[in-house]
Amino acid sequence: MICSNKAVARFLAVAAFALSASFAAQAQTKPLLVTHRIDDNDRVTLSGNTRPEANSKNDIGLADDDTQLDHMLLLLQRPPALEAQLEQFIDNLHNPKSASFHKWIGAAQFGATYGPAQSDINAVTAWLESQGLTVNLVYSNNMFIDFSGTAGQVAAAFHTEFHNYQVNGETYFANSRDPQIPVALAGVVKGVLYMHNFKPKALHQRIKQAHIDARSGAFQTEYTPGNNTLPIVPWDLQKIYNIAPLLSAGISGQGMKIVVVEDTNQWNCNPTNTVGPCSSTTSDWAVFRNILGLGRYTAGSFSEENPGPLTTNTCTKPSTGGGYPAGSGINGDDSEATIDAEWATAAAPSAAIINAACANPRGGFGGLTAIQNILNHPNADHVDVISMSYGESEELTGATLNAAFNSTFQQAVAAGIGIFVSSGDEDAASSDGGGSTCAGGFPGSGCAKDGITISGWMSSPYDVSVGGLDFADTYLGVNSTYWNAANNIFYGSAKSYIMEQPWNDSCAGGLLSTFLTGSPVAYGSSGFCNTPTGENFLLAVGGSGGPSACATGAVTVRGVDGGTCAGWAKPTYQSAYLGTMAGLKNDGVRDTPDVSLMAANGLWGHYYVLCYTDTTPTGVSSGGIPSCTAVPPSAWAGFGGTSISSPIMAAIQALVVQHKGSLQGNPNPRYYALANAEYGPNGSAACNSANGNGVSSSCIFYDVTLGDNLANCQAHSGGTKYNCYLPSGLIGVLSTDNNSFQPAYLTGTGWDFGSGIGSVNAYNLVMSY
Amino acid sequence: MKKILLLLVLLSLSPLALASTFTLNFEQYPEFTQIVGQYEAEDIVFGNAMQLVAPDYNYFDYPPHSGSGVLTDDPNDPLGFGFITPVTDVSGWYSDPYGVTAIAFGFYGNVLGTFTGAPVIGADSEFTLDPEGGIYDIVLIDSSQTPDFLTLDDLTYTETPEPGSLLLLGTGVLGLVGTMRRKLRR
Repeated sequence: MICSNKAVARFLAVAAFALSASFAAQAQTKPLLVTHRIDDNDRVTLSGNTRPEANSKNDIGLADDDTQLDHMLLLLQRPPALEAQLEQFIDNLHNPKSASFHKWIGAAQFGATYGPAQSDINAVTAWLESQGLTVNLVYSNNMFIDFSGTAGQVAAAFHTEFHNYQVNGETYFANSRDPQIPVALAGVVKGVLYMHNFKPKALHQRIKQAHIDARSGAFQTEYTPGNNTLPIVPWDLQKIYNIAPLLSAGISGQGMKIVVVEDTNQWNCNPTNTVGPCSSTTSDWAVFRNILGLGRYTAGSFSEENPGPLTTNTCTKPSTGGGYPAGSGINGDDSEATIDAEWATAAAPSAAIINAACANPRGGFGGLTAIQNILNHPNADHVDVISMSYGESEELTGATLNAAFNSTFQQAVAAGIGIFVSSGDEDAASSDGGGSTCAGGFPGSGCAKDGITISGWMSSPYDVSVGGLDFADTYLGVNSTYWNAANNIFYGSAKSYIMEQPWNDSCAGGLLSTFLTGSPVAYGSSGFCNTPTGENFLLAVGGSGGPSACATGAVTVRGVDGGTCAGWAKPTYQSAYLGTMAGLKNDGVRDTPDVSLMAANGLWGHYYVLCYTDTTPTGVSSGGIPSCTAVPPSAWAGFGGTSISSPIMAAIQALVVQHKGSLQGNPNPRYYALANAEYGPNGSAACNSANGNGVSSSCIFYDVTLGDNLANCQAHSGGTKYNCYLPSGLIGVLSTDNNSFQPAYLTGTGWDFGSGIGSVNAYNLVMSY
Repeated sequence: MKKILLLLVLLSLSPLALASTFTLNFEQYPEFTQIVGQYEAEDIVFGNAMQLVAPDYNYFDYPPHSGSGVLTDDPNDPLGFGFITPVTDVSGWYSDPYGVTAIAFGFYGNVLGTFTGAPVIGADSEFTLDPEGGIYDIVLIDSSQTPDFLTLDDLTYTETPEPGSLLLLGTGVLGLVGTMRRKLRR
């Protein structure tokens, strides 16, 4: 049959019309959100959009009106009924019994179906332009508008002011009060990003100095490289979490694309400092792979991308800073980028790892722009999973950015892409970011003072929150059962799965206290945290987890849950198993983490090695070493943090996707269904992590029942205690009740805030998914 | 007649003259290459053998005896090698924190000899096998029986005459003896 070009053109035109008519028909059913004439004098405040640090105490004056604010984002919102439809649609996408099961939708369909009506979007863009602002791009999802202007123009448009603030010796730029928009736009505009330049925290921790010697069990105040530690290399990871049989079976990530979201380019990736394939065979990534045995998976690749949508480039090379080569796009977050790239390839060595980074907009996280650009690229750039290792508490992140992540992750899972985010490295005290200095003469210490808070970057129901664990062999004194005395050719020495406990560097941790004093009691004047030895562990550092509490609304005290705060509603994949799966909390909100993996930074001798040769700008004290080939990995940089467990879990999910042969969307519905079947209402004795090498070979998840993620605490400035049990002494322990010890949080049978579902047997997960 | 006899003697001794000694230093192939039949020209094939090249492996604990290349037992233990022509006087250098057992097999899979090597790490140690009879196969078993804890370098072996060649040699000698006896009778 001859098919003329004209016929093809006619067919394509008809098809395009049908498609647009279909989208239009859907769009026509949407209620309009802009129903009144826009009156610039009739304003409504977008509350919860002022940084707590932007106060008179820190204020050092007005910012320059001419400061250029590029690539700001206006986050839109859909009508409540449409939001409910989207949530149901996403549930259906993940329900095997639904006709919509796995019928993923791309950005254009997502925007046309679940974005605000086009006339509403037109009204918003017209208003922005009427304020003298430049609209760069309306993303295909119809939920984000990229715009630019000067600080003076933005301040005038949103009826706020930009000031400079001095906080802890650093100068920041932020709006001094919540932005306002015309009342007529209130239904469609959710908020403005970014009106400040307070950066998020990269969720990794360098090796902890005070630690327990893994071989002798002795307390030591300083860490000596290679001295009786049990650093984790890829071979160990593959052995412990049973990834190795997958690799042997040819499931090592071939054809998979794993994006690690960053705000920096990689150190030592490409000598020419150009974006693209990491071509240098002497790059840290390549050396890490070769020395540690991953080089045999020759399909594995690594590249840098500064992803932009097809039309307007909203992504520029990340800003250079801190003494790095001009134009390199490298800044002080490059250790985070190295961690993510090296440990993602450790679990899926044949996958393509992509460092996706955009410059931080003047005030903001370029990683969000990078994700937006990937998702709104046609076919979402063929990405399978995305991992992000940054975070900040819901209370500090603010309602708009919390909503922005939630909206972004909704779109990702609707497109079939799995999102993995670090749960945080601050125990259940994310606002404190590791702990504010403890009062009473404890320099260099950290105490939780803001109460129980979790990261707003991972609390969305549409991502997998990945928590942090440690191995319990040192605590139990059974190192030799689980580790060979000698390293093998790839520096591996693990013998099997090892029993686990939450990663927790705090003196409040019951296992540490018990190990050193014989008593788990850390609070009170004679409690461990109030002893000279305990002072070495005054840190709110460990795997984070807790209930979502301030995803929406605004706080009244900086960083503290309260005011009009409310958490994300409990997702179906958690609520569906209340009563049938041990440990799930009937608290009405999204609980975190979902799953956890090893993330310790050396307290009990376990940490991850990293080939990281950046000694800029402060020499090797910045974490890197000059060469990875001249010394064994025990002398390399060492890190812990949920920034490592997240890319590893994302990579394991990439193996799931490879084995299934198609995108799987949000893994949580399946993870929880499998966990529900394994644990049941009473938990699974056979899959209790405490069994160590005696755990059943059929377990998909290992239920962590030992330990806690308790943090040491003190009263907030002003004397008010928030979730701090402090009956006597200077240091207390995080508790859901100030007046009685209600630990926040312990592990237990089934799901818990310390470890979520627990850790995984990767082979069984992939085969059972 | 004398010329014929001389030719017969030369022919019968030729297998001895052709017997070769090989030393494989494992420097020829890129790292992570699975070594199977790449050394067929040297009359040897390998099983569970992977090429490593320092510094891209743990060369601190498993140093090469020479150069930068070694073999390891991967993906499984034991590392094995078979000879196309039987050999004798086999030796090599190993590193293994648990020690090794090297077993030599004959044509029928019969054990010809065993070498038990002590644990060695951070250095290397020599193993030798020189049993009676031609060796057709050798397996090098790591005592932990776990792959990736053994390296091998500078493998040396000497080929022995094949049975057919030995038969030819015997015939030649017999012919020579017969000729000598005839000369003596005259």
